[in-house]
Amino acid sequence: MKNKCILQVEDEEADIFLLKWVFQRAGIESPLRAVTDGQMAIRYLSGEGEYADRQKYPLPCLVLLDLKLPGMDGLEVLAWTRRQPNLRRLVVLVFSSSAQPKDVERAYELGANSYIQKPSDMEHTLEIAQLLKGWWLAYNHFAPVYELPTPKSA
Amino acid sequence: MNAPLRILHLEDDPVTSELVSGLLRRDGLAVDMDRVDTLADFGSRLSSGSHALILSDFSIPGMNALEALHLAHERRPNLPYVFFSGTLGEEAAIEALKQGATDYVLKDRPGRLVPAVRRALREREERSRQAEAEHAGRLLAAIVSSSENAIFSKTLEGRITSWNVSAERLFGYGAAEAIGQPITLIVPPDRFAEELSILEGVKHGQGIENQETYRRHKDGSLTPVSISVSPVRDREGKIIGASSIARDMTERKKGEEALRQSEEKFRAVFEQAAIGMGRVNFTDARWIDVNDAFCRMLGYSRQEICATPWPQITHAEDVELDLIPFQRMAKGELQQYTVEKRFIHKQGHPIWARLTLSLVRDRQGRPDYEVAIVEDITERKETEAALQKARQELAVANRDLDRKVREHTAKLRETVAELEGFSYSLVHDMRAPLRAIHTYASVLEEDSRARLLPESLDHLRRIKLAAHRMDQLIIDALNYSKLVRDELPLRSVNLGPLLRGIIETYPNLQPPGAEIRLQIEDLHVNGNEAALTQVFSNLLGNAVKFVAPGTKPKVRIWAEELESESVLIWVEDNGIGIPKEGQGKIFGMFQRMHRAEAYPGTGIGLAIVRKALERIGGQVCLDSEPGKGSRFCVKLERAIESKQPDRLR
Repeated sequence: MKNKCILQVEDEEADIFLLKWVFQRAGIESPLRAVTDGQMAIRYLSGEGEYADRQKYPLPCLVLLDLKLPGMDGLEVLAWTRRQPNLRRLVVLVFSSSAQPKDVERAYELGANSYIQKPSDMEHTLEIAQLLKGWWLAYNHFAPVYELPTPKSA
Repeated sequence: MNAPLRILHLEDDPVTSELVSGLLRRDGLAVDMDRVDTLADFGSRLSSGSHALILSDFSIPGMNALEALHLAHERRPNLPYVFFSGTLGEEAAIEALKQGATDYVLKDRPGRLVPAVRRALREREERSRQAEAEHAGRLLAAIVSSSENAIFSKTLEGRITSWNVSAERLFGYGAAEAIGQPITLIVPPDRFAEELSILEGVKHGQGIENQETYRRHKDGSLTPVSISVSPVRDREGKIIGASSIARDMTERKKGEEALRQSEEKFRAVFEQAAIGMGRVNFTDARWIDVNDAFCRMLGYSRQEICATPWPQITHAEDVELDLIPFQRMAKGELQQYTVEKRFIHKQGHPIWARLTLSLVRDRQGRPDYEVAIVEDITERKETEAALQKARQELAVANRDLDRKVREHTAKLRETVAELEGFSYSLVHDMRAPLRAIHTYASVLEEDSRARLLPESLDHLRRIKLAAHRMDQLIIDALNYSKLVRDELPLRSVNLGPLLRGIIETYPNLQPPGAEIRLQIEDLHVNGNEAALTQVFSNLLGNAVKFVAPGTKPKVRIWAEELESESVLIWVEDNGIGIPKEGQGKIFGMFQRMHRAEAYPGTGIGLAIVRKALERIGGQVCLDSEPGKGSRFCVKLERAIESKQPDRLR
C-alpha cells in the first residue's frame, strides 16, 4: 500500500496544494505526484523525458484526472490511456469541478472508473480523501499495470 | 262565220222549219235547224249550248210558249229569243217582249224574219263584247285596287283622274280628296320640274320605268318611291293621259340606310379601333388596307405597309408560323386561325402581336381576302418574360437565402458552442480562484488555529463565507443563463418522481431538518425535466430556508387540477412570509428581501423559477403574508398520460 503511487493531473496550484494537504491530514502515505497539463500526464505515464526516472516518478496505480486542462484536456488523456495496451486497465478517477451530464457520460464512455465532482471547500475534500483512502487504497484490487518495453527503456 | 248557224227551233210543224231554213239560206246565212216540239226536248237541247239563236212558235198544242221563254232565259240568258208565229195578238206580243223576247215575226210576213234574225244575232254579239269589256274592266279595277302599289292616273294637264287604295295609303289622301286635284298635290316643290318633264314625255308617247324620286304625303313628310308612268290612249290611239304606278321605297331605303350606316360604323371601327385591323390579299400577301392603329403599332405609314407583303415585316423566326395557315386559308381550307408572332417595327425592334385571321369569300364562295385583327401583346410578353426572369431570380435568391440561413445557423451554432465553452470556462476558471481562496483560508484556519486571535479566526470564516457566496452566485447565474440559452424541448414529465428525486437529493429537504409532505404521486405535465428541476428545487430550497429562527420548516406540496388543460402545483410553507410590497419584485434578478447574513442566498433563485416557467409555458404566482408563510403556485399544462415517459437520464 505504501508503494501505490497516485498521479494527480491538475492545473490549479491551490487544488494540488489542497489535495496534498488533505492526503496528509487523512494519513495517506502513498506517494502523490502531480502534473499540470495533459501532455505532461502522457509523458509521465509513458516514462518519457523528465519522467524517465521511475524511482522518482513511479508508474501510478490510480490517476485523479481533472478535465479542464490547458492544451490537451482530461478526456483526451483518458482516451489516450485506453489506447495504450499497458495502461488500459489503469484506474482513472475523474476529479472535476464540472458535473455536466455531457462530461460525465463522455468520461464513462471513454473508460473512466469513477467520476467525482471536486468540492469547493476543504471539509468535503478531506472527506473524499478519507473515502479514497479506504475504498481505493485499502480495499480495492488493482490489475497490474506495467511498463511497455521500449527500445529506450531497454 | 263559215260554220253553219245553229238555230234551236221550237215548232211542231216541220214544214215551217224547212221554210225558215230556206229563207235564211237564200239570204246567205248557213243554218242548221234543230227543231224540237216539246218543252222537255227544248230544255235538254238548251243545255247542249251550241245554239246561236232560238226561234219559237207561240202556240204549240199542250205548251205555254212563255214558259219556254222563261226556261231559255234561265238557262241561256244571252241567247236571242225570236218568236215566229202565226197567231200572235198584239197583247201577246207585248207580253212576250216584256218577258224578254228579242223580237217577234208573224208567219204571214216571213220577209221580216231574215232582218230580225240578223239583228238579233248582231245585238247578241254586241252584248257579248260589252260583257267581255265590262269583265275586263272589273278585273283591271280589282287588280288596281288590290295592288300593293299606288296606282293613279292623270290627264295630260296633270289632273288626277283615278286613285287606288294603295295610293290612299301611300299618300294619305282618300280617292275623293285626290281625284280632280292637280298631281302637284303629291309632288314636292323641288320635284315639279321632274313631274313636268315626265308629263312632257308622256305627251310624246314616252313612259318612264322605276324612277326613284320622292312624293309628298298628306302629312307633309317625304316618301321615297319608285315610279313608272305610261301614256293612256283613247280608242283612236290618241294620248289622253298618263297612268302612274308608285312603289313605296321606304323599307328598302331603310334597309339601304341601315346597310350604309352599318358600313360606316364598320369603317369607323376599322379606322378608329385601338386594335390593329387590316385586310390581306391572298395572291401577293399584301395588305389591301390597314387602319391607323396598325400603322402606329409598327411605325409605318399606310402606304409603306400596303406596299409590303406581310412576311417582310414579320420576324424571320415567326414567318413559318403564320405562313402555313395563311396558305391553307388561301386554299379555303381554313376559316379562321390565331397566331402570336413578332412583327418588326420600322425602327427595328420586335412587336409581339396576337393575330386573329378570318377568311372572307367572294360571291362564288372562293377565298377573297383575309381580315386580320392585330393586338399588340408586347407588354404582356415583356411582363411574362419579366415574370419568368423574376421567378428565376427568386429561385436563385431562395437558394441564396437558403444558403445564408444555413450559414447563419451554422454560425449561430458555433456561437452557441462558443458560449457554452465560455460558460464552462466561467464555471471552471472563475470558480477556481474562489476555491483557492476558500482552500487557503481553510488550511490557514486549520493549521494556525492555536496561534490566531479569535478576531483573525472570525475574519478567516468571513473570507470563506464570501468565497462560498461568490461561488453560489456564479453557479446560479450560470444556471439562469443556461435556462435562457438552452433548448428546452417540451415533453411529458411526471412531476411525482421528479419532486421525490429533488427531495432525496438535498439533505436540507429531509428530516430531521425539514418536514416535507409531497401529495403528488403521478402527475404528467408538459414541460422540461431540467427546467422543472430548477423550478422546484429553488422553490423548495426557499421554503425550508426562509423560516423564523428555531422553527422547523414544514412544507406541503399538492396539485389542484383545473377544468381546463391546466394544473396548479402548490408549495406551501410555514416560513416568515413575504411583505406585500416585496411580492412584485421578488421574481427579479438579484432581488433579496433579507441580508445575506440572516438568510444566505444569491437573489437569483426566483428569477430562475420565473424564467424556467416562461420557457416551458408555465406561470408562477404567490400568496403570502408576513408571519403566515407563503404559498407559491405553479401553473402548468397537463400532458396526455399515455405519452411515453421522458427518456431516462
